[in-house]
Amino acid sequence: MNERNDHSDWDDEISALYRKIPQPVPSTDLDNRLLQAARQPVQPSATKTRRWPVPVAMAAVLVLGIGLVRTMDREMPHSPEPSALQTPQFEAQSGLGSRTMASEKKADIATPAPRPDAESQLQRLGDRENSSDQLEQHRVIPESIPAPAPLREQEEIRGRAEAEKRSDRQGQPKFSRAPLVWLQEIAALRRKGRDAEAKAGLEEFKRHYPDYPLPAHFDLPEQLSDDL
Amino acid sequence: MLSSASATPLQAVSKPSNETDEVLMLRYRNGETAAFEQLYVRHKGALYRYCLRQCSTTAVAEELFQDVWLKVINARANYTAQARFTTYLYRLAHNRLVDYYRAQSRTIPAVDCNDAEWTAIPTPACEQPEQQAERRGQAEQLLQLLNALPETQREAFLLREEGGLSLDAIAEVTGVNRETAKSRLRYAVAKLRQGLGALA
Repeated sequence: MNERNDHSDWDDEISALYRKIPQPVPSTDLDNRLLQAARQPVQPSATKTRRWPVPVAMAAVLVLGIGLVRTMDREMPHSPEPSALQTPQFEAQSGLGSRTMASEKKADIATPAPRPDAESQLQRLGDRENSSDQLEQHRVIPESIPAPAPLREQEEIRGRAEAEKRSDRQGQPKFSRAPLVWLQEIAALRRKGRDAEAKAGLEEFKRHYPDYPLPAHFDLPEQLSDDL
Repeated sequence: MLSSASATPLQAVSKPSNETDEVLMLRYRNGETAAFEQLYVRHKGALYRYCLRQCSTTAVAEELFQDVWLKVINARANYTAQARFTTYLYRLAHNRLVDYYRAQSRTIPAVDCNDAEWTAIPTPACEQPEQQAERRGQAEQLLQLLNALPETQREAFLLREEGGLSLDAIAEVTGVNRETAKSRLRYAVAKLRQGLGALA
């Protein structure tokens, strides 16, 4: 208890003198009160019970809020912005002449943020595949009238995007190749004339992504599809 | 407020024990009230004087003393023998004393020693008659000198003298490093020695 050895400056004479001073002690009444208090059982601390409700309530609010937002997000119909839908249409016309290029630039200005999403990529893929058909079609469309995206095509794009999101949400298995990449490969095979491989690839693709809406030319009847 | 209606006289329950303070406190934590009584008997006088010598009146000293022990009692369920019990006890007392100083709008001076303090120390009792230089008179003078010390130095002296704490423990209790604690103690002893003059 006494640890004075580590202090060389300690004055034993002063210490001895200090011991000569009357050494008061607490009163007996105080002793008894404290001993009585010491005999009381440990009271459960109120702070322990009060410590939890606030964090628990905050966590509950957070979980409920996130759940609500996610549920609303799932249930709300997805409606892409019209400008976003129209952008690929302008891009499709990019190779048709300077007038179309000007329209494209205007469209870019109208839609300031580029949307490198599935819709535009799908549209580009379809455009590449149908480039010859589109060239034919655009020849008959007057250049002064920008061709509005057909309703069927818009729905198709929307369907693809939703299917892609659905597959993401529902935790469908992810494959090493993304659907768009896969479809590009199949299209490339077709262009090279390797129709058998393309057909096999398309069947494989449909097995993996049964709900994924294919571009129009992929849905042709088998005999016509084989001709592509 | 505490009741003294069914209190057992201290003399009847206290028995000397060779067990360390920490063991006694752990036993008390586990429900042995008798262990606390032994602990209380061991430290009550020193802790009481530590409080008394640093505040103005007996009533205040008793209040501080009671608060410290009640903290020990109420926190027994969470007690772990991580440090010496005396260090733990006097840390509680130091904190309570700081609270008291704050309530009194007093602050513990940060400066440990300066020339002004040295000159403020009462002159040695060399002019007193030989009869008055008896040990009792010197002891009373020592008490006066102790009261005149700066609070940090007086606390260091009392922790050493009453609590029997080491320099490291004093530093831990008062929240300073070892060198500061050593310096405070050295200044306190030097001032007391200088004040007593003839005794040195």
